[in-house]
Amino acid sequence: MILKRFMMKVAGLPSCEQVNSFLALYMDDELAEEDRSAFERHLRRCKDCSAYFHQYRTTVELVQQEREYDIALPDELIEHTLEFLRSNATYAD
Amino acid sequence: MPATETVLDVEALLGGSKQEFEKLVRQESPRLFRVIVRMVGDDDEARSIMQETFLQAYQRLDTFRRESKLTTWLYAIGINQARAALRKAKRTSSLDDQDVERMQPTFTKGMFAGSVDAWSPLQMAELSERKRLVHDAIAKLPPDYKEVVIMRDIEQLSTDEVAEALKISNGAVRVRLHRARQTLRELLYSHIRE
Repeated sequence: MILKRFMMKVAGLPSCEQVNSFLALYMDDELAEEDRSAFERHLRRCKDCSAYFHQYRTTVELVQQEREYDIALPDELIEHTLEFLRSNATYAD
Repeated sequence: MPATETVLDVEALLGGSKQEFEKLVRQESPRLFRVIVRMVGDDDEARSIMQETFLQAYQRLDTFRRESKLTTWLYAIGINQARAALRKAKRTSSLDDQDVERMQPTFTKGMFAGSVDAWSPLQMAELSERKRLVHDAIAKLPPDYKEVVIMRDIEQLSTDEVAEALKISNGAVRVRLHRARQTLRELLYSHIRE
């Protein structure tokens, strides 16, 4: 770990902790060019961060697939909602 | 924009037009219902929360500030209603803030404290097949984290929109989302390494 830290420092690269704090911004493609480059170079040299990033990205992709886990609006719910509103005095006025 | 979506006359709506408000109800109900169901985990409860959300929105039209989108403002009301329902039912998530903290990676002098084992192809395949695992993991998150994941990662609202709906900064949205994703990663990992 000491050697890895030394090598990252010599190469002018961020620490694992800094790289971890960049994950969400990197996923959103919102890192500044310089930071993105340093992030990617760190990942190429660090198997822990590389594995962690892969798992983080997989997790986000699996969560995004929840969209396909259909929660259908019950057929009558919109009409019931409108009836609910119309029956309320503050709406009906 | 879905094919059924019609253009809302926001000025008329804010002026109290019931016709325009009912267009909003028809247009936004599917997504609002999905968000609320995912928050409270119960269809029947989500129905009444959604109805109450629209009623509150109508009653509070004069509080709408035009710097945010009308739909974002509506989600803010829905999220608050869902939170209130969870509090009233004293229903707690399986995880609390301490659990979330415990599931964040740890570092020693800036470097990973332990080694991170890559997920095997078999573990990856298992995760893809067991979709219920992801669904259940999201349901376990504390409300503050769950609502960010639902709005940002599932419903794909922008960071700005989530920040407006939750009345927090963009930075706070990113921090919560990051911590939530790391917690979800840990929950999924705990299943596939068993």
